[in-house]
Amino acid sequence: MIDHNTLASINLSLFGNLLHKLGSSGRAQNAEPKLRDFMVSLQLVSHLEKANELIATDRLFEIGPTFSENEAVRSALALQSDYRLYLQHLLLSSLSEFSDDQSLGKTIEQLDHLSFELLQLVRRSSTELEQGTSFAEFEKLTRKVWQSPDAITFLSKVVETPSDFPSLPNGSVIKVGFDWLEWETPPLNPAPAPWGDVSPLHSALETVRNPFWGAMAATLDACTGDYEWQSLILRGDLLRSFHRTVGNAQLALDSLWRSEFGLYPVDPLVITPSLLGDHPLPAVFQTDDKGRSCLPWLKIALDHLHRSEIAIESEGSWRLTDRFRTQLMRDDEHMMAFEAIRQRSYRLARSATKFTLASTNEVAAS
Amino acid sequence: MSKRRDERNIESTNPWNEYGVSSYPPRAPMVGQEQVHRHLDSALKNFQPSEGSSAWFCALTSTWGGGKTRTADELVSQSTGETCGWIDRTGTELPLIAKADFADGLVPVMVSYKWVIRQVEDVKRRLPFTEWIPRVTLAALMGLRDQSAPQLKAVMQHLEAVKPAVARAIRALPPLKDVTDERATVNGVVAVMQQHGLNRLLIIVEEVEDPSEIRNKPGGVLGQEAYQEIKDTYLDVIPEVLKSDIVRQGFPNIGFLLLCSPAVYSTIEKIPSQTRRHYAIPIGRNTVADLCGYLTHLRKSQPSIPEYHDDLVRAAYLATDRNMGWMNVVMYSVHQRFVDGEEDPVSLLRQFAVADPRGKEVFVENGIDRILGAKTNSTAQSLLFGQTPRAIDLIDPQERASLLGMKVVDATSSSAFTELCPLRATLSEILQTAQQEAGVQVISGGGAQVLAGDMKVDLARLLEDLSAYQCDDAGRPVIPRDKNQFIHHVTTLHGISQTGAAAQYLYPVFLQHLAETPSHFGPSFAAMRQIDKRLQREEIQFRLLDDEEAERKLNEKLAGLSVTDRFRRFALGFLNTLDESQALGEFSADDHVVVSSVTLERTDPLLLSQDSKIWVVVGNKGTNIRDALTSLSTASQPVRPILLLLSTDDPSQRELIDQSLENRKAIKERVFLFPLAEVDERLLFLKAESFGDSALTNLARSLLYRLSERIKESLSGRFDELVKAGVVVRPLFRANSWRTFERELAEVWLFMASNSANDLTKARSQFGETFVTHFQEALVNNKPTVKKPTTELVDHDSDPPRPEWPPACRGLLSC
Repeated sequence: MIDHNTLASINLSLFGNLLHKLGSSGRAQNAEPKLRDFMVSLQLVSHLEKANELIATDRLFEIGPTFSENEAVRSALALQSDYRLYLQHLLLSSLSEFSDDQSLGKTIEQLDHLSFELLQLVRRSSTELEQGTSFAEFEKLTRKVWQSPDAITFLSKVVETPSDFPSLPNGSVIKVGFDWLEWETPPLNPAPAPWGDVSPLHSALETVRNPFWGAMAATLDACTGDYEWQSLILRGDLLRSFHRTVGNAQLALDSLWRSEFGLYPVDPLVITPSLLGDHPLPAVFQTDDKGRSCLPWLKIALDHLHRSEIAIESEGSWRLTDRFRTQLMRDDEHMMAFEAIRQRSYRLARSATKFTLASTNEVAAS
Repeated sequence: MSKRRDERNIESTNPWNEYGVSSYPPRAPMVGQEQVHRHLDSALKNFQPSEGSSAWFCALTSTWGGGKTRTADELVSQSTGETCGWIDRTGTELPLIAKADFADGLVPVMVSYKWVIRQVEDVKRRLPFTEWIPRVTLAALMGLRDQSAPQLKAVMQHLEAVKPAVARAIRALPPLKDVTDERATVNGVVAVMQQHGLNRLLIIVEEVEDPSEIRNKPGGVLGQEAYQEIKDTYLDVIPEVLKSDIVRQGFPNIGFLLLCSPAVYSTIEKIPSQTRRHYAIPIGRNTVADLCGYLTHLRKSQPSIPEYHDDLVRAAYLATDRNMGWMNVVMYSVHQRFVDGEEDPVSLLRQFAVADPRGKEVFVENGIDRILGAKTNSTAQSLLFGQTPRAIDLIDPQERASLLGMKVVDATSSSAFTELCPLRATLSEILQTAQQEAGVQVISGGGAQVLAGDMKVDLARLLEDLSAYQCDDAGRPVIPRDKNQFIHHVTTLHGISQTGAAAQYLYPVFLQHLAETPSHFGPSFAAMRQIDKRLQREEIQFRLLDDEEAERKLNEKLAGLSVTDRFRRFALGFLNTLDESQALGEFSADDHVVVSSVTLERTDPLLLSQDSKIWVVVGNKGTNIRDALTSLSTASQPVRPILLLLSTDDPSQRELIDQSLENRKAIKERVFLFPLAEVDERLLFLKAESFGDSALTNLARSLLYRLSERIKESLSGRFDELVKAGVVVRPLFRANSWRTFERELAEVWLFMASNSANDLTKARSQFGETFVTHFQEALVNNKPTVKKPTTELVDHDSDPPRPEWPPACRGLLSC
């Protein structure tokens, strides 16, 4: 359990860096113990003691994506229950100052995702918070993190960027699927596969072992066309199977990866322009009604793979480069990883044959 | 008769293999395939380890049942002295490739790739390309030690007898799991072999085959939770092994003869740098004549083999799509009934289809029900199970008419029977016709190869395949005149993978040489595909759009267009193919010719007029086209290039236009003629409909690419002709930078061209210094480069540059 003083003493810069790292690659080693314990207590990470490594969970990605480390810090800190309560009180006290109903209504609209928690709070005794010891540390922390000297400034910041004060994640806690090539069957609950770290692309083995880049490699292997079953075609925005349109490539792959790989692509926690390459930084992050990212992760990923000479666009369709495939056949370790990739790519291609445009739409709609 | 039948029954020998597989040791000589013998012999002679040489590789390729294993068995049996010989189709004994008792230093070790994979996987290893050679060799040597197959047992026992020290070294090999240095272990055995005069270890790796055959657990995946084991990676690695020169150099005494399926070999073959790194030996199909010759030869040594009718051998061979494996299965099965007295091939094959449990692997169960009316028509059944056409006069004309009306229950309700006409042309004549056909290009220096649609087709081989099916009495192949039947016929007999869409383009070429009167009558391949299961493996498709429904609508739309609208679409499609998206302005239109004009932006060979406009004439009737061309060339019309798209398969219309242009040189020199093949029209229509690239099939993309290349080549060829004739001076008045000075350029150039005594000095005094300077500046752009050939207007090497002009121009000016 984290006490108020510990929370206040967190090095925000280090915390921001750690969140950035975890939110991009899904893992971080040798984190500061205080930060590690804090994040473990929030179930944002899982701690592998042997390797002293933190592995991000789906809860971490649920609070993103954000535009900066500071926004990520705000979102993560807001998950700590005492501090969250304090922030909610700040919001309520500011809202109570509103004299104009119309402005109040518009403001509350922006806080819709917090409405359940705020209503609960209104119903509870207002003395609950005052029973605590000192809020001086929380005040200081809010000033530093939110640059808010008072409640009304804090409210205006939250209204401006509601995602910085996210709703509480719920459901299961699933780690990033770094061991995905060892799975004998796809897990029931798919694991997140963040695409924010391009460093694995420097090594063929690292690429295929990484849940996101490995899944991309398996997908492109199914597009290679050397064997009859390698029947996927990734061209433009469409995914095809045996020349029949499966649907929008990004949506279809999201669904196929979930069912056949037990993975789903997630946006990095902190999005930076350098990560997006030639693609513009969006004004706001959007998700579809299934909570899937609307960032063009597939195109961005293909660009990165192209730059790393792993994928090539041939006659308008994407496939793995011969160079990359050669690397995957250079020793036993690579061959075994290649086999595991091939098993998954075969399964993906076979599954796609039964995946129609209608089913894509159904999945998207559901 | 009955007595004779009994005698035949008692004495008869069934020469066929029950399961259609090669058994070791061979019981009969290897027959035919002289080319394989020649290539294998020559390739193995080149396997001579020396300083700096590498591991030797050879790929022996055929489909299942094509004779790979039999050829390898032959090689092994020659080394062990168990061979029955290898004879050519005349029965002449061919020389041995490998010497008995390993006298030539060659030790063949034959293992299955699947078996090797299992061995290495059992010890938690794989076959990366860096370790492939030592691991496969070691696994093969272990197989030899354990005598795990008849071929290995024969070689090992023979080694024990003639080279005991080598056999001892092999027996002493530790289990694979205990071998830590595979390279050293392999080289150790090789060293012992060398000490005893065996300098070539030939590992014959069989079953290097399609993923579906090598996969451990074939079948569906969906619904099975676990990831399925896929062994395709072991095939992917083979091209890498061939490429890994450094690894290969470590094993100069080891050779690999890979027995590959065509699909696997195609992954090797498509990498151009691989072709020099191995020997490729494809095993072709035997002809019916080969088979009959083989049986005749067999009967000489074994008179108890019955004299099967040629018709039976032919029908069985065709029913199995000329696969020797299945041919053995069918013939083994019908042998006893033949011996018992049933000689009618149709009855024998029908009986096999119905009574033999494996009949449904050769003949489709209830396939006859897909041919309406055939079940109750004995002639229809006789023709269908007889597999080949019969002379037309053997069938009653009334019955023929009735059979011609029979339809196949398929997507297009194809005719079940067809008339076939003899091809009255030699290969040279066909090539000559192909040269003139719009959609076909004869490949320069390519022998009988032509480019038809998306495929390079060897017409000599195509003719061989057609002849092997059925010929008339004069030995000419018989072929249907009907277009769809022709396409099915050619594509099935030559194989879809080698034919692609070529038959569509070749049809007009062959049609010109097909006799009008049919000589034969037989089942169509649309019907045969309903009966013969082996023919079903290859789908004949000519789809342009990915989406079937969209394709259907496209075809309906094209069929529903008026002639005038079709012409309009062809013109639009042609411009779209050239990436010219400007709108066409229509000048006149009727059912025979549509005339329009358009301003071009990109197509250099046609950018010849001041306003960059061209006339586009699309038509099908010579006289109307001639009139249109004449009206466009009157003095009142601006002088522009005329693009003429000729949409007719009637050669007389083309001749009429050619003749008319010959008589009117002034019109001819403006015309760029592009005759459209029928398939081109469909492609141009597709292009006019502006489907996105992603909506097209790979075939459509490939055909469109070929068409656009052909168009560009034709336009630029015509442009060069016009330049050579002095009609066009390029790129005068065309480059944007010239336009500012076009008057200076024209006047000074004409001034100098009009009199050879005129030079730049005189020009300066005539037009002024600035005027001539502008003229010179404009001419600088005319400097030829490697990528931009230009008309030599200026001799840039002389100082100052001296104007030049084509002889034809000079002639015009001096008139």
